[in-house]
Amino acid sequence: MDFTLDSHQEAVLEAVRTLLSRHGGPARLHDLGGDEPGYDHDLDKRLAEAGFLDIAEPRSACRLDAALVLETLSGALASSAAGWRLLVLPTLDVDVEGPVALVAESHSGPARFAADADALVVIGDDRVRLVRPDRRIPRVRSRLGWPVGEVSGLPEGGVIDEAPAAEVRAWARVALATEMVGAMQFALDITVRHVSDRRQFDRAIGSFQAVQHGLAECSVAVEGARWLALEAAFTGAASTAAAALTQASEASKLIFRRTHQYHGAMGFTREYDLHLSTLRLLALRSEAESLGRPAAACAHEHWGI
Amino acid sequence: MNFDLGPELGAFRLEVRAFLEDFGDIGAFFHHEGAYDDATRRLYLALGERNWLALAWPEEVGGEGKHPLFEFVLWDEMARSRAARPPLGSGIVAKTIIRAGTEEQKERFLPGLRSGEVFFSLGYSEPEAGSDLAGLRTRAVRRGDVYVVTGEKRWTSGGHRADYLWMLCRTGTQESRGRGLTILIVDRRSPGITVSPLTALSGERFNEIFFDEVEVPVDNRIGDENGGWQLIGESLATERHVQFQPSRVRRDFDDLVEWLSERGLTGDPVVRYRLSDLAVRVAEVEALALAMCEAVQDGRDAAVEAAANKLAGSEVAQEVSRLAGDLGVPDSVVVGSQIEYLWRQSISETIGGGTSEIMRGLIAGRGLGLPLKG
Repeated sequence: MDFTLDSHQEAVLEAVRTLLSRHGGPARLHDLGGDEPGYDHDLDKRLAEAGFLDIAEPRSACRLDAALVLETLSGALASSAAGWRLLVLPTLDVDVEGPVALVAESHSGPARFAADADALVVIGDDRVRLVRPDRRIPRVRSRLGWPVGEVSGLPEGGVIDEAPAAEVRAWARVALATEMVGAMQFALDITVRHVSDRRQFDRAIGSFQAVQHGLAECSVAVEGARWLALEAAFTGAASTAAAALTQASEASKLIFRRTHQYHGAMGFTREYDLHLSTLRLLALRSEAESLGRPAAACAHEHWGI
Repeated sequence: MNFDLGPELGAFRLEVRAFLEDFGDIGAFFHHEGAYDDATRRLYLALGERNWLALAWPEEVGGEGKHPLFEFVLWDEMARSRAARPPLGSGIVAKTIIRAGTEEQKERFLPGLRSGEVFFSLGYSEPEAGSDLAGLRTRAVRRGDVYVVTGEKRWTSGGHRADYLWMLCRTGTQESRGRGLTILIVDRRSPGITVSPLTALSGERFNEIFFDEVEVPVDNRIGDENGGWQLIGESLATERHVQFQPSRVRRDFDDLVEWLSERGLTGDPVVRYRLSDLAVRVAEVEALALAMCEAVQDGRDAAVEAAANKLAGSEVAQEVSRLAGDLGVPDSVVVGSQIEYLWRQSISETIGGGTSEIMRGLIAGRGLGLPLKG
């Protein structure tokens, strides 16, 4: 066991961070529309050119490197569907050039990236389809930090031969959990900086024990979510994937409440960056549930109930 | 022991409900864009016509002389119908003027506040002074018959449409903290005032208000110079019963149940479990509000009860509005969906009007008697 990055992983993440320092981060998201952003095609293009989007081998059981890249992208608030490509597509023998969106077969309504995707991965109970919409899916207004399209009446067909639906669903859960970890870390970092700088009652508000304890709990929750998500990416086990997403979802509620609370009115204004990550958590959590309740999946995977 | 507010207040509650039938869902209870429009202004004027903005003011200044619990019932019903929140003007401002203002000030300001024509905005918070108001820096310097005000207020709700700003300013040294603060009423149209917008996640417009040597007549000072801190403490005490309305939480919960049942989700055992959990918390909020009312009715200082009411109420309001998103209902992410809107409107409830941390501190210190230092 070794929880440190190996030299290859270090080098990859360093390169991704360098790319993101120029083409990612809150400033880039603001340029794209802030909490109502467009899709960052330019970022996807650069990531693809550098080979970062195909980092997991097709059908590979271990997708740890891909998860590390996704966590980094999410932590820099990338407006990209790279998560599905990094962690889900390696299970499927398909060829799609541009962004993909991912929804459950029963889904009807708003879905992340649907308006920008070249294809949709549609997960049913025992089959997976790749749907290439014959016309652009309309964009719908959402102010939770993601580009969103309104999915209804998807065309039939596109069933992918022998695609393992349960496995695809599990990898989708790993991707969502990993994205949550990146967004939570962003929120936690900006909050730790804020409470260290912000002075009230002649002291930094981070010197109050109540605030310290609150943030310590947040830190443990994010660390727990990170190791669970990365473990799931390492093993590819459906049970760990379900546990990781359940834990990350729960942690994200705590992170939202506490990080906003400790910012006071400042965190509640659009000019401040906190909401760019925290609003995303709500959308991710909702999406996690729409793929089938992760907590129920946990019980099912562990005990067959 | 008796858990009933009594026949008089019960009758008044029905009267308020009948009154609100004419105003439908104005929705100015929430802080959304355009929350204060012509319809809201008409509502306040209609309240003024009934003298309901002065329910608990003494009769000698034009009030109804009723018990403060009439105000609780009025604003609780307003919250249930989402019509509007208690205005600061007829609350904190008017009651402080009644208690500490001069006869001339009473004549000048009270009629407009009573009729609902005049709108006040609260100028307390500053970039460096949020929960810690005693650290505020906006300075007022006496020069003859005027105070010259320089500084900045921030996160000011309604500051752009206010007629007057009810300002807490520093007249003593920075080190004097709470002992060096003074209340001034500042005409918002005075030369030297610049108002610029800050948009909140709810859609509400907050403001940054800059004061560049703004001249304020000494006649607009309420109470003594350097006596502001005590006055705002006392004024908060007179408004505890309208700090947080339990019927807001009940209404949010009812709407959530209806919304989920319209989508055929209430048969889901997870949904039923979460809803029954929340139903208990909503009942808890209502019980805490009654405890607060009982203290007010009894004439006791209701600080701890009111803090418990605000703490529990605001947190449950957030839990209620968060649930739909947590259940994975897709339209909970879309702008304009009722549930996204509800959620957005609840984010600031644990911050505005005294943060949950301040409430907890109050309950720990004054309620439990815990020491500040060992």
